[in-house]
Amino acid sequence: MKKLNELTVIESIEGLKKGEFKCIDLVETCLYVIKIRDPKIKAFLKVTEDSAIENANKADKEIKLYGEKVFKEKPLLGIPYACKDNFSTLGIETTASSKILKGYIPPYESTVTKKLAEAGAILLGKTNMDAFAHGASTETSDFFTTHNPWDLERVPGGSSGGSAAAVSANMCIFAIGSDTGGSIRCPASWSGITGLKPTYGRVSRYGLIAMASSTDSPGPMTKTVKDAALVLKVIAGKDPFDATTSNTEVPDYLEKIKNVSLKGLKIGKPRSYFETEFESGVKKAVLESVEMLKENGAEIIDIDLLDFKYSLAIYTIIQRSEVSSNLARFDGIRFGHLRDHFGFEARKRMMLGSYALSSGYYDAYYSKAQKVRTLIIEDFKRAFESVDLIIGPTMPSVAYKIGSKEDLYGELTDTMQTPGSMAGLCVIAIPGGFSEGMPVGIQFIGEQLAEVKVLAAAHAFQEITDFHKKFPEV
Amino acid sequence: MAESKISKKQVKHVAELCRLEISDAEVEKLSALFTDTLNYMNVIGELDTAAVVETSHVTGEKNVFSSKDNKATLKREAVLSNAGETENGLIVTKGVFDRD
Repeated sequence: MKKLNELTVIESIEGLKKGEFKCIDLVETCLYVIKIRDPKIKAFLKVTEDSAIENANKADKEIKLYGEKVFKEKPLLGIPYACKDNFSTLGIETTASSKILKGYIPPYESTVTKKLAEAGAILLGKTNMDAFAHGASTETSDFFTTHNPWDLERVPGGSSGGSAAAVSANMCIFAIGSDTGGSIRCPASWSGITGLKPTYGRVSRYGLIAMASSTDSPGPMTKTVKDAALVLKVIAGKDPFDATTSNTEVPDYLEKIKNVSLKGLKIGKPRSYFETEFESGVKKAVLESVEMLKENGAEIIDIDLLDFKYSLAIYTIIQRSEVSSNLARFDGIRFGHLRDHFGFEARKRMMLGSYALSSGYYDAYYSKAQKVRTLIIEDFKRAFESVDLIIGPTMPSVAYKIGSKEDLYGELTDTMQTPGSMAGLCVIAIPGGFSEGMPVGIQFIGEQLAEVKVLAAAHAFQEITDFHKKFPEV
Repeated sequence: MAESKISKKQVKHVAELCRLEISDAEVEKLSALFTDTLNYMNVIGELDTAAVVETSHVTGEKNVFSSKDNKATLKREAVLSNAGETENGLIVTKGVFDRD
């Protein structure tokens, strides 16, 4: 039988509804597991033990008072989660893993954490990340590096590496991350969990410490696709505090994906994604996954997309330009410390961004990049005329050893993430096999606001596989 | 696109624009790093964008205004709570002009 901390969101809710255990049991089990495992994994920057226990007791009272029907109003009541440290949490230190924000206590709550609290979810703590989300490994965190629960000598991926490791090591029931150019999908892949980067504007960025504002997308990191669907429903929607959020109605994702099949689904397989050089073990696992989709009725169609070297190049320009603007506001006057507290990676990005935006270079870099972005968007539109979804490896390799890629921090490994980010598409990364004993991820890319399609295909894949049911022994 | 190179002088200039202090060793390192990165980014020169418009945001949303009912604001104490130095309910900053 599964231990309480190993449950999915949906299993936890079922158990609470049936009275098999209480919220306090769930929360205390997670807190206990954090105490035992986190000294090795280092996923958490801060554990909010007292408020978690208090909220669990409150949730138990609500369930006792109102019974099962309380879950209609509070669909995540009593479910403990971990949150990446770039979401502002009222009264709880928020640093984005940077020294310049050490000691910063936000005077307001991010929309995502507010919505989760209103839905009854219980915050267990804030998770480690690459400082300001600048990296794909957590190695640029100004505090410490998180270890991959599958192999403690390896990185968990990043930048939402703490959240991914917390889910993978069963220290929480689900987690929240943010994805600018792969920061949910990369660690989901390398830590062997499910990570959804929703369409840009589907989930509010209000209170999220900005990295690149034109692609920042908060999203769920979970043990199953069904859990991601449930959490997405809670956090998605129009927000008056974020003008880029979509007015489109938020569907009941979980209900919509329940009875789907892969039959007749047209899945595009981009030649450029598969013909590029990547680890043979990863390639083998991904191709086997593609074969399984085919055997279960999906139609796999070879398609041509622009080489992702263009996406990576423009992502580098646009992201650094936006970083230089977003981090300009850190002056140590209204909040945070002086600018000499910025780490090397943040300084490097700000400087290159300022260069790309400066007079004389603007046309060659920033303006040109925004034009190429249009080409990438059109390229995807063309592809989606003939296919429902696009499949690819999430990462070209398994997680690397800590310290082995010092000057890159995993950035060049984000190659397969940036096209979806640049076009604002929705993408899900799910476990798709193993190589060298480490998890391999596959990703389904869908059009903007095609979350139902993407989740449905990923869920159907999890119905016929059990890669997502495997967890590391920590 | 022609080969790009960011000189040490340019690195120092950009650091100044960003209000960042960098050591001589860092100037050396960054000049090499930026030169590499820029040369990588030059691949976009391969694509013809003469007739292409820029995309600065991807949602297609237009003219989004804040609702007049949206009056949420922070209380003064909350705003000051993270400030380094405050005086009479205001934030103390360094002077901008020399007085002598």
